[in-house]
Amino acid sequence: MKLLTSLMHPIWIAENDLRQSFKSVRHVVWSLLFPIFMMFTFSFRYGAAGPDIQFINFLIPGIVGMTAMFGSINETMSIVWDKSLGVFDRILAAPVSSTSIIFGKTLAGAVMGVISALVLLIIGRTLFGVSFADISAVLLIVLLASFSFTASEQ
Amino acid sequence: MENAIEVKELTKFYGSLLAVDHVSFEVKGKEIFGLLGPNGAGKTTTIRMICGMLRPTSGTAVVAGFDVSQKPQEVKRRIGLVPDISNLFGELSAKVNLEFMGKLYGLDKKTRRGRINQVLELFQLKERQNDLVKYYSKGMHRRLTIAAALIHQPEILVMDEPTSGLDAQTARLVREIIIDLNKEGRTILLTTHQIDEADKLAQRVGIIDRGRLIALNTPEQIKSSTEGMRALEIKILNDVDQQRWLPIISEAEGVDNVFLAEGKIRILSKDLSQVIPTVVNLVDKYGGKIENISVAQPTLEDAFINLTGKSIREEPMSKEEYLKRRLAVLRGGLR
Repeated sequence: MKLLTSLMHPIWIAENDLRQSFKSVRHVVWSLLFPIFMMFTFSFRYGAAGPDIQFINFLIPGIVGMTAMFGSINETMSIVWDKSLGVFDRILAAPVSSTSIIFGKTLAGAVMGVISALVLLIIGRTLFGVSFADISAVLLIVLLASFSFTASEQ
Repeated sequence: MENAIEVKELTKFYGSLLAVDHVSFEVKGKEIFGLLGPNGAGKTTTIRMICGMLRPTSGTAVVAGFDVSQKPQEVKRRIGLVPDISNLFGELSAKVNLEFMGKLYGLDKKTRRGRINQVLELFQLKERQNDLVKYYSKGMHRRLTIAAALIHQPEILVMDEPTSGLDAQTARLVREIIIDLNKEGRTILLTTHQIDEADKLAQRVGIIDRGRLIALNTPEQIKSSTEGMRALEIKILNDVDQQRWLPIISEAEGVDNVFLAEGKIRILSKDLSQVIPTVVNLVDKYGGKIENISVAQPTLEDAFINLTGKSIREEPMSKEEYLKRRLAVLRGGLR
Protein backbone atom coordinates (compact mmCIF):
# COMPACT_ATOMS: atom_id res chain seq x y z
CA MET A 1 0.00 0.00 0.00
CA LYS A 2 2.79 2.37 0.98
CA LEU A 3 4.74 1.53 -2.16
CA LEU A 4 1.69 2.02 -4.34
CA THR A 5 1.03 5.37 -2.69
CA SER A 6 4.55 6.60 -3.31
CA LEU A 7 4.36 5.40 -6.91
CA MET A 8 1.17 7.37 -7.37
CA HIS A 9 2.57 10.55 -5.77
CA PRO A 10 4.13 11.99 -8.95
CA ILE A 11 0.89 11.34 -10.82
CA TRP A 12 -1.23 13.07 -8.18
CA ILE A 13 1.16 16.03 -8.14
CA ALA A 14 1.16 16.27 -11.93
CA GLU A 15 -2.64 15.96 -12.05
CA ASN A 16 -3.04 18.71 -9.48
CA ASP A 17 -0.63 20.94 -11.38
CA LEU A 18 -2.39 20.44 -14.70
CA ARG A 19 -5.79 21.06 -13.15
CA GLN A 20 -4.53 24.43 -11.98
CA SER A 21 -2.82 25.19 -15.28
CA PHE A 22 -5.98 24.73 -17.29
CA LYS A 23 -7.95 26.93 -14.93
CA SER A 24 -5.47 29.75 -15.13
CA VAL A 25 -5.98 32.12 -18.07
CA ARG A 26 -2.33 33.19 -17.97
CA HIS A 27 -1.25 29.61 -18.42
CA VAL A 28 -3.55 28.78 -21.30
CA VAL A 29 -2.75 32.00 -23.16
CA TRP A 30 0.96 31.49 -22.74
CA SER A 31 1.13 27.86 -23.70
CA LEU A 32 -1.56 27.64 -26.40
CA LEU A 33 -2.72 30.97 -27.81
CA PHE A 34 0.72 32.53 -28.04
CA PRO A 35 2.22 29.80 -30.27
CA ILE A 36 -0.90 29.67 -32.41
CA PHE A 37 -0.67 33.42 -32.89
CA MET A 38 3.02 33.08 -33.68
CA MET A 39 2.35 30.35 -36.20
CA PHE A 40 -0.20 32.40 -38.10
CA THR A 41 1.97 35.51 -38.12
CA PHE A 42 5.02 33.74 -39.41
CA SER A 43 3.17 31.61 -41.91
CA PHE A 44 1.49 34.62 -43.50
CA ARG A 45 4.76 36.50 -43.61
CA TYR A 46 6.99 33.73 -44.89
CA GLY A 47 4.62 31.04 -46.04
CA ALA A 48 2.92 33.26 -48.62
CA ALA A 49 5.73 35.59 -49.57
CA GLY A 50 8.40 32.96 -49.99
CA PRO A 51 9.00 31.67 -53.50
CA ASP A 52 9.28 28.13 -52.21
CA ILE A 53 5.99 26.85 -50.72
CA GLN A 54 7.83 24.04 -48.97
CA PHE A 55 9.14 26.54 -46.46
CA ILE A 56 6.07 26.00 -44.28
CA ASN A 57 7.20 22.42 -43.79
CA PHE A 58 10.21 23.70 -41.93
CA LEU A 59 8.44 26.48 -40.10
CA ILE A 60 5.65 24.46 -38.47
CA PRO A 61 7.86 21.74 -36.92
CA GLY A 62 10.09 24.50 -35.55
CA ILE A 63 7.15 26.22 -33.90
CA VAL A 64 5.88 22.88 -32.60
CA GLY A 65 9.26 22.33 -30.95
CA MET A 66 9.25 25.81 -29.48
CA THR A 67 5.73 25.32 -28.17
CA ALA A 68 6.78 22.16 -26.40
CA MET A 69 9.57 24.17 -24.84
CA PHE A 70 7.30 27.04 -23.79
CA GLY A 71 4.77 24.67 -22.27
CA SER A 72 7.46 22.93 -20.28
CA ILE A 73 9.18 26.12 -19.12
CA ASN A 74 5.87 27.56 -18.04
CA GLU A 75 5.20 24.50 -15.94
CA THR A 76 8.63 24.76 -14.36
CA MET A 77 8.02 28.39 -13.54
CA SER A 78 5.05 27.22 -11.50
CA ILE A 79 7.49 25.81 -8.94
CA VAL A 80 8.77 29.33 -8.33
CA TRP A 81 5.18 30.57 -8.05
CA ASP A 82 4.26 27.75 -5.71
CA LYS A 83 7.25 28.47 -3.53
CA SER A 84 6.54 32.17 -3.23
CA LEU A 85 2.86 31.55 -2.48
CA GLY A 86 3.73 28.90 0.09
CA VAL A 87 1.68 26.18 -1.61
CA PHE A 88 4.89 24.25 -2.19
CA ASP A 89 5.10 23.85 1.61
CA ARG A 90 1.86 21.91 1.46
CA ILE A 91 3.54 19.20 -0.61
CA LEU A 92 6.75 19.50 1.40
CA ALA A 93 4.90 18.88 4.67
CA ALA A 94 3.20 15.77 3.33
CA PRO A 95 4.93 12.38 3.35
CA VAL A 96 6.14 12.72 -0.23
CA SER A 97 9.75 12.11 -1.26
CA SER A 98 11.62 14.85 -3.09
CA THR A 99 12.09 12.47 -6.04
CA SER A 100 8.31 12.20 -6.37
CA ILE A 101 7.93 15.99 -6.27
CA ILE A 102 10.52 16.52 -9.02
CA PHE A 103 9.14 13.68 -11.11
CA GLY A 104 5.57 14.93 -10.67
CA LYS A 105 6.49 18.45 -11.73
CA THR A 106 8.45 17.16 -14.74
CA LEU A 107 5.55 14.97 -15.75
CA ALA A 108 3.18 17.93 -15.61
CA GLY A 109 5.57 19.98 -17.75
CA ALA A 110 5.93 17.21 -20.30
CA VAL A 111 2.17 16.67 -20.57
CA MET A 112 1.63 20.42 -20.97
CA GLY A 113 4.30 20.53 -23.69
CA VAL A 114 2.80 17.56 -25.55
CA ILE A 115 -0.75 18.93 -25.39
CA SER A 116 0.21 22.33 -26.76
CA ALA A 117 2.42 20.77 -29.43
CA LEU A 118 -0.43 18.44 -30.42
CA VAL A 119 -2.83 21.34 -30.89
CA LEU A 120 -0.31 23.03 -33.18
CA LEU A 121 0.30 19.82 -35.10
CA ILE A 122 -3.39 19.51 -35.79
CA ILE A 123 -3.68 23.13 -36.90
CA GLY A 124 -0.56 22.80 -39.03
CA ARG A 125 -1.91 19.73 -40.73
CA THR A 126 -5.47 20.88 -41.36
CA LEU A 127 -4.89 24.54 -42.18
CA PHE A 128 -1.47 24.50 -43.76
CA GLY A 129 -1.32 20.96 -45.03
CA VAL A 130 1.99 20.16 -43.46
CA SER A 131 2.70 16.49 -43.92
CA PHE A 132 4.31 14.39 -41.28
CA ALA A 133 5.75 11.11 -42.41
CA ASP A 134 5.28 9.38 -39.09
CA ILE A 135 3.06 11.09 -36.56
CA SER A 136 3.92 8.69 -33.72
CA ALA A 137 7.63 9.40 -34.14
CA VAL A 138 6.95 13.13 -34.04
CA LEU A 139 4.92 12.73 -30.85
CA LEU A 140 7.62 10.63 -29.24
CA ILE A 141 10.24 13.25 -30.03
CA VAL A 142 7.96 15.99 -28.68
CA LEU A 143 7.38 13.99 -25.49
CA LEU A 144 11.08 13.39 -24.93
CA ALA A 145 11.89 16.99 -25.74
CA SER A 146 9.23 18.25 -23.28
CA PHE A 147 10.59 15.99 -20.59
CA SER A 148 14.13 17.18 -21.08
CA PHE A 149 13.11 20.84 -21.37
CA THR A 150 11.28 20.66 -18.05
CA ALA A 151 13.98 18.65 -16.37
CA SER A 152 16.78 20.92 -17.56
CA GLU A 153 14.85 23.98 -16.37
CA GLN A 154 14.64 22.51 -12.91
CA MET B 1 2.39 10.64 29.78
CA GLU B 2 4.72 9.93 26.89
CA ASN B 3 6.20 12.93 25.13
CA ALA B 4 4.73 13.67 21.73
CA ILE B 5 7.60 15.88 20.62
CA GLU B 6 11.11 15.96 22.04
CA VAL B 7 13.45 18.64 20.81
CA LYS B 8 17.08 18.52 21.89
CA GLU B 9 19.66 21.23 21.21
CA LEU B 10 18.02 22.08 17.90
CA THR B 11 20.13 24.58 15.98
CA LYS B 12 19.76 26.16 12.55
CA PHE B 13 22.21 28.38 10.72
CA TYR B 14 21.17 30.16 7.53
CA GLY B 15 24.64 30.75 6.17
CA SER B 16 26.30 32.66 8.99
CA LEU B 17 23.02 33.71 10.52
CA LEU B 18 21.98 31.82 13.63
CA ALA B 19 18.19 31.49 13.46
CA VAL B 20 17.63 28.85 16.14
CA ASP B 21 20.18 28.46 18.92
CA HIS B 22 20.27 25.16 20.84
CA VAL B 23 16.57 25.02 21.59
CA SER B 24 15.41 22.13 23.78
CA PHE B 25 11.89 21.41 24.95
CA GLU B 26 9.36 18.64 24.97
CA VAL B 27 5.66 18.61 24.26
CA LYS B 28 3.74 16.12 26.35
CA GLY B 29 1.08 13.95 24.79
CA LYS B 30 -2.35 15.58 24.52
CA GLU B 31 -1.32 19.01 25.71
CA ILE B 32 -1.41 22.41 24.06
CA PHE B 33 2.09 23.82 23.98
CA GLY B 34 2.66 27.41 22.95
CA LEU B 35 5.83 28.85 21.50
CA LEU B 36 5.70 32.54 22.25
CA GLY B 37 8.01 35.11 20.77
CA PRO B 38 8.22 38.26 18.66
CA ASN B 39 8.44 38.17 14.85
CA GLY B 40 11.73 36.76 13.63
CA ALA B 41 12.45 34.97 16.90
CA GLY B 42 12.87 31.60 15.19
CA LYS B 43 9.44 30.10 15.87
CA THR B 44 8.65 29.20 12.28
CA THR B 45 12.15 27.82 11.67
CA THR B 46 11.80 25.61 14.74
CA ILE B 47 8.44 24.33 13.52
CA ARG B 48 9.73 23.67 10.01
CA MET B 49 12.53 21.58 11.47
CA ILE B 50 10.12 19.62 13.68
CA CYS B 51 7.89 18.91 10.66
CA GLY B 52 10.82 17.61 8.62
CA MET B 53 10.65 20.42 6.06
CA LEU B 54 14.01 21.87 6.99
CA ARG B 55 17.17 20.04 7.95
CA PRO B 56 18.59 21.18 11.28
CA THR B 57 22.25 22.22 11.39
CA SER B 58 22.60 20.23 14.59
CA GLY B 59 20.45 18.75 17.31
CA THR B 60 17.56 16.33 17.11
CA ALA B 61 13.80 16.40 17.09
CA VAL B 62 11.86 13.25 17.90
CA VAL B 63 8.19 13.24 16.96
CA ALA B 64 5.93 10.39 18.13
CA GLY B 65 9.02 8.27 18.66
CA PHE B 66 10.55 8.92 15.21
CA ASP B 67 13.67 10.97 14.64
CA VAL B 68 12.92 13.67 12.08
CA SER B 69 16.31 13.45 10.37
CA GLN B 70 16.14 9.67 9.99
CA LYS B 71 12.47 9.02 9.35
CA PRO B 72 10.98 12.25 8.00
CA GLN B 73 8.18 10.42 6.18
CA GLU B 74 6.98 8.68 9.34
CA VAL B 75 7.00 12.02 11.17
CA LYS B 76 5.12 13.80 8.36
CA ARG B 77 2.45 11.09 8.41
CA ARG B 78 1.75 11.85 12.08
CA ILE B 79 1.81 15.64 11.93
CA GLY B 80 -0.76 18.01 10.55
CA LEU B 81 0.73 21.39 9.75
CA VAL B 82 -1.30 24.60 9.68
CA PRO B 83 0.99 27.26 8.23
CA ASP B 84 0.79 30.95 9.13
CA ILE B 85 -0.46 31.92 5.68
CA SER B 86 -3.21 30.01 3.92
CA ASN B 87 -1.34 28.07 1.28
CA LEU B 88 -4.22 26.40 -0.48
CA PHE B 89 -4.49 26.08 -4.23
CA GLY B 90 -6.54 29.15 -5.09
CA GLU B 91 -7.51 27.99 -8.58
CA LEU B 92 -9.10 24.84 -7.21
CA SER B 93 -12.21 24.26 -5.14
CA ALA B 94 -12.13 23.36 -1.45
CA LYS B 95 -13.17 19.83 -2.24
CA VAL B 96 -10.43 19.31 -4.83
CA ASN B 97 -7.87 20.81 -2.46
CA LEU B 98 -8.83 18.36 0.27
CA GLU B 99 -8.98 15.53 -2.26
CA PHE B 100 -5.38 16.25 -3.27
CA MET B 101 -4.19 16.34 0.33
CA GLY B 102 -5.96 13.04 1.02
CA LYS B 103 -4.22 11.48 -1.98
CA LEU B 104 -0.81 12.70 -0.82
CA TYR B 105 -1.39 11.08 2.56
CA GLY B 106 -2.29 7.81 0.86
CA LEU B 107 -5.95 7.61 1.82
CA ASP B 108 -8.07 5.35 -0.36
CA LYS B 109 -11.07 6.74 -2.21
CA LYS B 110 -13.72 5.70 0.29
CA THR B 111 -11.86 6.97 3.37
CA ARG B 112 -11.03 10.17 1.51
CA ARG B 113 -14.65 10.90 0.65
CA GLY B 114 -15.74 10.25 4.22
CA ARG B 115 -13.04 12.42 5.78
CA ILE B 116 -13.63 15.28 3.35
CA ASN B 117 -17.33 15.35 4.19
CA GLN B 118 -16.50 15.13 7.86
CA VAL B 119 -14.09 18.08 7.95
CA LEU B 120 -16.18 20.21 5.60
CA GLU B 121 -19.13 19.76 7.90
CA LEU B 122 -17.06 20.36 11.02
CA PHE B 123 -15.77 23.66 9.67
CA GLN B 124 -19.08 24.69 8.10
CA LEU B 125 -17.74 24.84 4.57
CA LYS B 126 -20.08 22.27 3.06
CA GLU B 127 -22.19 24.78 1.08
CA ARG B 128 -19.17 26.40 -0.49
CA GLN B 129 -17.22 23.19 -1.16
CA ASN B 130 -17.29 23.57 -4.94
CA ASP B 131 -16.31 27.26 -5.01
CA LEU B 132 -12.78 28.22 -5.96
CA VAL B 133 -10.69 28.85 -2.86
CA LYS B 134 -9.44 32.19 -4.16
CA TYR B 135 -12.93 33.63 -3.64
CA TYR B 136 -12.98 32.63 0.03
CA SER B 137 -12.83 35.11 2.89
CA LYS B 138 -9.86 35.15 5.22
CA GLY B 139 -11.72 33.31 7.96
CA MET B 140 -12.85 30.62 5.54
CA HIS B 141 -9.28 30.28 4.29
CA ARG B 142 -8.08 29.73 7.83
CA ARG B 143 -10.80 27.16 8.53
CA LEU B 144 -10.04 25.28 5.33
CA THR B 145 -6.30 25.33 6.13
CA ILE B 146 -7.02 23.69 9.47
CA ALA B 147 -9.41 21.25 7.77
CA ALA B 148 -6.70 20.29 5.26
CA ALA B 149 -4.30 19.56 8.10
CA LEU B 150 -6.83 17.21 9.69
CA ILE B 151 -7.59 15.11 6.62
CA HIS B 152 -5.24 12.30 7.67
CA GLN B 153 -6.32 12.53 11.33
CA PRO B 154 -2.87 13.32 12.72
CA GLU B 155 -2.12 12.75 16.39
CA ILE B 156 -0.10 15.96 16.50
CA LEU B 157 -1.25 19.28 15.12
CA VAL B 158 1.33 21.99 14.53
CA MET B 159 -0.08 25.46 14.06
CA ASP B 160 1.94 28.49 13.07
CA GLU B 161 0.27 31.71 14.22
CA PRO B 162 -3.25 30.24 13.96
CA THR B 163 -5.08 33.52 14.61
CA SER B 164 -2.79 36.10 13.04
CA GLY B 165 -4.56 38.51 10.72
CA LEU B 166 -8.04 37.42 11.73
CA ASP B 167 -10.75 39.64 13.18
CA ALA B 168 -11.63 39.15 16.85
CA GLN B 169 -14.71 37.04 16.15
CA THR B 170 -13.00 34.63 13.75
CA ALA B 171 -9.96 34.45 16.04
CA ARG B 172 -12.26 33.37 18.87
CA LEU B 173 -13.82 30.72 16.64
CA VAL B 174 -10.37 29.39 15.71
CA ARG B 175 -9.40 29.29 19.40
CA GLU B 176 -12.54 27.30 20.18
CA ILE B 177 -11.67 24.89 17.38
CA ILE B 178 -8.17 24.47 18.83
CA ILE B 179 -9.56 23.70 22.29
CA ASP B 180 -12.04 21.20 20.83
CA LEU B 181 -9.31 19.45 18.85
CA ASN B 182 -7.26 19.18 22.01
CA LYS B 183 -10.22 17.71 23.88
CA GLU B 184 -10.46 15.03 21.18
CA GLY B 185 -7.02 13.92 22.32
CA ARG B 186 -4.75 15.67 19.83
CA THR B 187 -1.44 17.16 20.88
CA ILE B 188 -1.16 20.74 19.71
CA LEU B 189 1.98 22.77 19.22
CA LEU B 190 1.25 26.36 18.32
CA THR B 191 3.25 29.51 17.90
CA THR B 192 2.02 32.97 18.62
CA HIS B 193 3.27 36.45 19.25
CA GLN B 194 0.17 37.34 21.21
CA ILE B 195 0.68 36.90 24.91
CA ASP B 196 -2.97 36.70 25.85
CA GLU B 197 -3.50 33.96 23.27
CA ALA B 198 -0.74 31.83 24.80
CA ASP B 199 -2.20 32.57 28.21
CA LYS B 200 -5.72 31.51 27.15
CA LEU B 201 -4.86 28.44 25.12
CA ALA B 202 -1.62 26.83 26.14
CA GLN B 203 -1.09 24.56 29.09
CA ARG B 204 2.64 25.21 28.87
CA VAL B 205 4.50 28.03 27.21
CA GLY B 206 8.03 28.35 25.89
CA ILE B 207 9.25 31.87 25.32
CA ILE B 208 11.63 32.12 22.39
CA ASP B 209 13.62 35.21 21.53
CA ARG B 210 16.42 35.65 18.98
CA GLY B 211 16.58 31.92 18.48
CA ARG B 212 16.96 31.04 22.13
CA LEU B 213 14.44 29.53 24.49
CA ILE B 214 14.50 31.85 27.48
CA ALA B 215 11.69 30.44 29.60
CA LEU B 216 9.62 27.27 29.64
CA ASN B 217 6.75 26.75 32.03
CA THR B 218 3.03 27.03 32.60
CA PRO B 219 1.60 30.49 31.92
CA GLU B 220 0.90 30.80 35.65
CA GLN B 221 4.44 30.04 36.62
CA ILE B 222 5.91 32.35 34.01
CA LYS B 223 3.66 35.00 35.43
CA SER B 224 5.01 34.18 38.86
CA SER B 225 8.46 35.33 37.75
CA THR B 226 6.84 38.63 38.58
CA GLU B 227 6.01 37.17 42.02
CA GLY B 228 5.32 39.79 44.62
CA MET B 229 5.23 42.46 41.95
CA ARG B 230 2.32 44.71 41.24
CA ALA B 231 1.75 46.76 38.15
CA LEU B 232 1.03 50.46 38.36
CA GLU B 233 -0.43 52.22 35.37
CA ILE B 234 -0.38 55.96 35.05
CA LYS B 235 -1.52 58.27 32.30
CA ILE B 236 -0.16 61.76 32.09
CA LEU B 237 -2.57 64.48 31.05
CA ASN B 238 -2.19 66.00 27.59
CA ASP B 239 1.25 64.63 26.96
CA VAL B 240 1.93 63.44 23.42
CA ASP B 241 5.41 62.22 24.22
CA GLN B 242 4.84 59.75 27.03
CA GLN B 243 8.15 58.15 26.10
CA ARG B 244 10.15 60.95 27.77
CA TRP B 245 8.87 59.90 31.17
CA LEU B 246 10.38 56.43 31.00
CA PRO B 247 14.00 57.38 31.89
CA ILE B 248 12.76 59.77 34.57
CA ILE B 249 10.57 57.19 36.28
CA SER B 250 13.06 54.34 35.95
CA GLU B 251 15.42 56.36 38.15
CA ALA B 252 12.98 56.23 41.03
CA GLU B 253 13.79 53.86 43.87
CA GLY B 254 11.86 50.58 43.99
CA VAL B 255 10.92 50.60 40.29
CA ASP B 256 11.85 47.24 38.68
CA ASN B 257 10.67 47.90 35.17
CA VAL B 258 8.90 50.65 33.31
CA PHE B 259 7.50 50.67 29.80
CA LEU B 260 4.68 51.98 27.66
CA ALA B 261 1.59 49.83 27.18
CA GLU B 262 -1.39 51.08 25.19
CA GLY B 263 -0.47 54.71 25.68
CA LYS B 264 -0.07 54.33 29.42
CA ILE B 265 3.08 54.15 31.48
CA ARG B 266 3.27 50.77 33.18
CA ILE B 267 5.50 50.36 36.20
CA LEU B 268 6.43 47.01 37.74
CA SER B 269 7.47 47.08 41.35
CA LYS B 270 7.61 44.92 44.46
CA ASP B 271 6.92 47.84 46.76
CA LEU B 272 4.14 50.01 45.42
CA SER B 273 3.52 51.83 48.70
CA GLN B 274 6.95 53.37 48.33
CA VAL B 275 6.83 53.84 44.55
CA ILE B 276 3.45 55.58 44.25
CA PRO B 277 4.38 58.74 46.21
CA THR B 278 7.84 58.88 44.60
CA VAL B 279 6.40 58.66 41.08
CA VAL B 280 3.66 61.20 41.82
CA ASN B 281 6.29 63.60 43.14
CA LEU B 282 8.57 63.03 40.18
CA VAL B 283 5.81 63.68 37.66
CA ASP B 284 4.89 66.82 39.55
CA LYS B 285 8.50 67.97 39.65
CA TYR B 286 8.89 67.65 35.88
CA GLY B 287 5.71 69.54 35.20
CA GLY B 288 3.29 66.73 34.36
CA LYS B 289 -0.22 66.12 35.66
CA ILE B 290 -1.44 62.60 36.29
CA GLU B 291 -4.77 61.98 34.58
CA ASN B 292 -5.30 58.45 35.74
CA ILE B 293 -3.61 56.01 38.06
CA SER B 294 -4.45 52.36 38.66
CA VAL B 295 -2.96 49.22 40.17
CA ALA B 296 -3.20 45.79 38.54
CA GLN B 297 -1.95 42.23 38.79
CA PRO B 298 1.01 41.47 36.53
CA THR B 299 0.07 39.83 33.23
CA LEU B 300 2.01 37.36 31.11
CA GLU B 301 3.18 40.34 29.07
CA ASP B 302 4.69 41.91 32.18
CA ALA B 303 6.48 38.64 32.82
CA PHE B 304 7.72 38.59 29.23
CA ILE B 305 9.11 42.10 29.54
CA ASN B 306 10.63 41.21 32.87
CA LEU B 307 12.35 38.19 31.31
CA THR B 308 13.44 39.66 27.99
CA GLY B 309 13.75 43.28 28.95
CA LYS B 310 11.61 44.36 26.04
CA SER B 311 8.01 44.58 24.99
CA ILE B 312 6.67 41.99 22.58
CA ARG B 313 4.72 44.59 20.65
CA GLU B 314 7.67 46.62 19.48
CA GLU B 315 9.81 45.47 16.56
CA PRO B 316 12.88 44.23 18.38
CA MET B 317 15.16 44.19 15.37
CA SER B 318 16.47 46.87 13.09
CA LYS B 319 15.02 46.89 9.59
CA GLU B 320 18.34 45.74 8.10
CA GLU B 321 18.58 42.80 10.46
CA TYR B 322 14.97 41.84 9.80
CA LEU B 323 15.50 41.95 6.01
CA LYS B 324 18.70 39.98 6.34
CA ARG B 325 16.84 37.33 8.28
CA ARG B 326 13.93 37.20 5.82
CA LEU B 327 16.34 36.83 2.93
CA ALA B 328 18.25 34.07 4.67
CA VAL B 329 15.02 32.21 5.40
CA LEU B 330 13.81 32.58 1.80
CA ARG B 331 17.12 31.33 0.42
CA GLY B 332 17.36 28.45 2.83
CA GLY B 333 13.69 27.60 2.66
CA LEU B 334 14.16 24.44 0.65
CA ARG B 335 17.35 23.18 2.21
